[in-house]
Amino acid sequence: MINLKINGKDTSVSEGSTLLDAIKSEGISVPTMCFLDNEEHFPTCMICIVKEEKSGKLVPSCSTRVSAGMEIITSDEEVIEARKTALELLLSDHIGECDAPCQVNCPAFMDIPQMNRLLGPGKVRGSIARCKERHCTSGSVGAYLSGSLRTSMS
Amino acid sequence: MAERETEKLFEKTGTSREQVIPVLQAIQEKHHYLPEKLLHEVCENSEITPAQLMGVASFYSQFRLKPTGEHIIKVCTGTACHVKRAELVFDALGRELHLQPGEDTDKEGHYTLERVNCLGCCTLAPVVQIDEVTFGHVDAESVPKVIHAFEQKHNGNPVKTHQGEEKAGKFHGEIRIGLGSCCVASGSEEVKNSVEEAVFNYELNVQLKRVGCVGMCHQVPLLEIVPEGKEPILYSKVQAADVKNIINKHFKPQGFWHKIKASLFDLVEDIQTDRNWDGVEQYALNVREKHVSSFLGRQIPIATEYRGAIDPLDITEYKSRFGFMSISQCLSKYTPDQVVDKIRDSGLRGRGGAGFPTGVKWRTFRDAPGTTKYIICNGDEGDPGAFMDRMLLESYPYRIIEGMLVAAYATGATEGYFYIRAEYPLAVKRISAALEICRSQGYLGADILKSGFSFDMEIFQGAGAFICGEETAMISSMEGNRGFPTLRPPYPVEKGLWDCPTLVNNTETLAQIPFIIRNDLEKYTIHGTANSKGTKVFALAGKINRGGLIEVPMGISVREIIEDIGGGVPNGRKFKAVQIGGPSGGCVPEWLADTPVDYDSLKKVGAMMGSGGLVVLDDTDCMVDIARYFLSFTQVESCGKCTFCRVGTRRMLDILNEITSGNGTMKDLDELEKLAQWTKKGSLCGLGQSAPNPVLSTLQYFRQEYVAHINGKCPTGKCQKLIKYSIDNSCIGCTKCAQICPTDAIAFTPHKIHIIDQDKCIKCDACKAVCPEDSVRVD
Repeated sequence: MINLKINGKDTSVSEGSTLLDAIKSEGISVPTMCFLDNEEHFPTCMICIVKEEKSGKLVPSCSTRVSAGMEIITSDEEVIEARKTALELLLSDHIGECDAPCQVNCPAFMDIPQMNRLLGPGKVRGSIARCKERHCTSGSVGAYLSGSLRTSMS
Repeated sequence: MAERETEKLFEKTGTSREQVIPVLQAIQEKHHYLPEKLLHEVCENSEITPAQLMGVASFYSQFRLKPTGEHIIKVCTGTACHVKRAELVFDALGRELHLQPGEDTDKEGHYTLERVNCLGCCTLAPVVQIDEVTFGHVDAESVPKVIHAFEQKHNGNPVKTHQGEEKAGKFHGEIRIGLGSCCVASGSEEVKNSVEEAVFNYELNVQLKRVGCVGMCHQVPLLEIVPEGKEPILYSKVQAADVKNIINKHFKPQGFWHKIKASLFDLVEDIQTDRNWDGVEQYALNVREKHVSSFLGRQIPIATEYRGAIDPLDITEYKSRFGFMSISQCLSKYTPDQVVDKIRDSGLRGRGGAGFPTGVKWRTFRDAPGTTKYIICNGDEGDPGAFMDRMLLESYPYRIIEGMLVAAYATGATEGYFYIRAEYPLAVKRISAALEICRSQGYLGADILKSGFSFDMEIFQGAGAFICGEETAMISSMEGNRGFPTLRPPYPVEKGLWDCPTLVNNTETLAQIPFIIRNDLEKYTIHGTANSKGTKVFALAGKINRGGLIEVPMGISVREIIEDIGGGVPNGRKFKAVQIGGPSGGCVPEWLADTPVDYDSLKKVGAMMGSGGLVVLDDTDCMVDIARYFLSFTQVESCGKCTFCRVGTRRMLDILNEITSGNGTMKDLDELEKLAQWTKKGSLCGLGQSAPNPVLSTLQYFRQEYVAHINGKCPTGKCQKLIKYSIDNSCIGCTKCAQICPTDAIAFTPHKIHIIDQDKCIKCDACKAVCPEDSVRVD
């Protein structure tokens, strides 16, 4: 058994466990994304990042093995900021690689992701133009559809 | 027919899955690319699966899936070449070959043009390599000449050689020729051939000796004459045509006819005075001569001991200079534990960059349980602007082999590997020859020196991925996978290659071992500072008068290296900063040049020892461009495994591209800094953790340059999108610029002031280079 501290609390887990196993056994939840239980793992997304307090290092909990004397913080300002940054970076890189649910479910077949991408940097006119490629009365369509879209997204 | 091809291949490599890289390398060597048909055959007849094969082939930059032209032109874009504007050379080659955007091979299929990270000939920057022929100091203008010279060489007759003829009679002396990569690139092979011819014609009895790198790479090719019983004299920048004159000066021709011929020749030489000596600048490696003494005087050769004096492959000579003394001392006198302790006490730290204490690493490795244990010599020197490992492997193969033998004895390792970069063919050749010779002389293999200790090593060639210099990525690649790093712990010293304990040491670290072992500790620890002992080899290049390979004691200041050893910045420019440690390092600005060069001091100022590339920058270099250059390197070389490195470097590069094209905002600077911090903190391995260093250090010291770019101006006129070429009133209308302009942007108007059509101008700098009146303005 390996003894370590999670959020200041002593715990012990069997050798070879990952930090995620140890954290879960404490009943604490850590978000994961590329991790899939019982599959050979290849850490890439860095969403499950936690902090090793003594070294101040951020490590992916899903595949870091426990070692004796570790002191793990599963959630503080820095860790949350790191997860947010990782997610932001992933999203910034994620254009056109899969179909967004809003687009799949849009009954009016509008290119919503593209409209949003134009809206982001404030190109409102470009976004409207994109919308009008399909619908001359985009304003009213938008008002009508917002309800049904919200349902399909949830 | 084709069936036989893979069969033959597998005879050499075997069919197991970890052989995928050697298999692909063998195919590519023959076909210059990987033909799909052969790849199918490989998968059908071996353990290699299509998924693994494609994964590997697409990961390493060495492999090509498309056919190439007959010859491959590689333009080096290493740091030293970059600051000497290799991009302009690349563009000029593209124009010369009439390549359309997106094309890399000319219509006739003669040439394929590509960029290469670093050829390790930084003192000859910018460097272009066509097949095996290297051209140094290439500029946009000389591109047609380079191609012409290559074609001449390629189509020409093979050179007659007069090699290896033993002669009796009086011994006249020794002639030494440097045959490191820089020397060869600058034409030392031709010089060698001329020497052989002259020696043959004059019937001289001299020993012609190939020596490794002297380190004075700014003076290549070097030829040293050691007349029997006299002082040696060194000739620099020797051309093949000068050789006869030089030899004549020192050796009396033998035989009647040659005597007459030579005296006639001397007469002519007297009349013509110095004309024959065009191109031969200054000779005399008289250590009393100032520029030589200051270059060599401050240096302490340990890893490069006896440089310029020993033939890299002459084992008898190596032995006569204390060679293999430390391994035989180890085997006869010391216990393995004593050896590890001595290395620990020497304070030696890993020379690969991070500076982990070598003794501690050896101890952990020695204590790791296991019957099979590997040692790997890390010769995957990927930093653009660094060429120490190449030079050490090429010039001192026996020393590194001996260092590895000592390490193996001390730690109980059972097998050894050299992991050498694909771009260093000469290093591979020398090491494999040296290994053969060592085996035949009983220094390798079973029962070394009849001591009962057995050890052997082999070479694994890298395939062109910077990340493989990281030890866990290197191990992945040797196992036949993509070079992805893995999480540490477990450290390779506990669980590495094929899950066995593995010790990865840098080439330079191993090269220092024999000296430490065979001498008293004080002889080593006297050099250096409290926490950084000994010496460090640096590749000094960029805007510097005397570039080359230098070995200096730790703790020497940056200024001493640049001014005393390097002779300062050329062309009357001002020293601005020095980039240390390549893409993982940072810039030390002029006002911090008194910083001592050791692991900790460099870290304090935001740079890093890295592997030891020192690229000097002058006031014409744009620091934002330098940051962008390194980041584009790490971004391409990022293995793509973790988010922070893969995407973080790309976002940072996006921002830098915006800034260097004049579209940046002040908000971008904050975003850049934030991304840099997170990439540093969140990345899994050293590549990502250090990739932001060039950005952070330039932001720290040269923030005003970033701000200037945001305000739409590149202070040094390097960022193409922010500059405009124009011709001022001093133009004499000589039409030279109009003739050279590749895009006809300048109308042919003799005797009138020329005008540049901004729509057509591609900012290739050709007009500025050719203008005799300096009338071309860049703002």
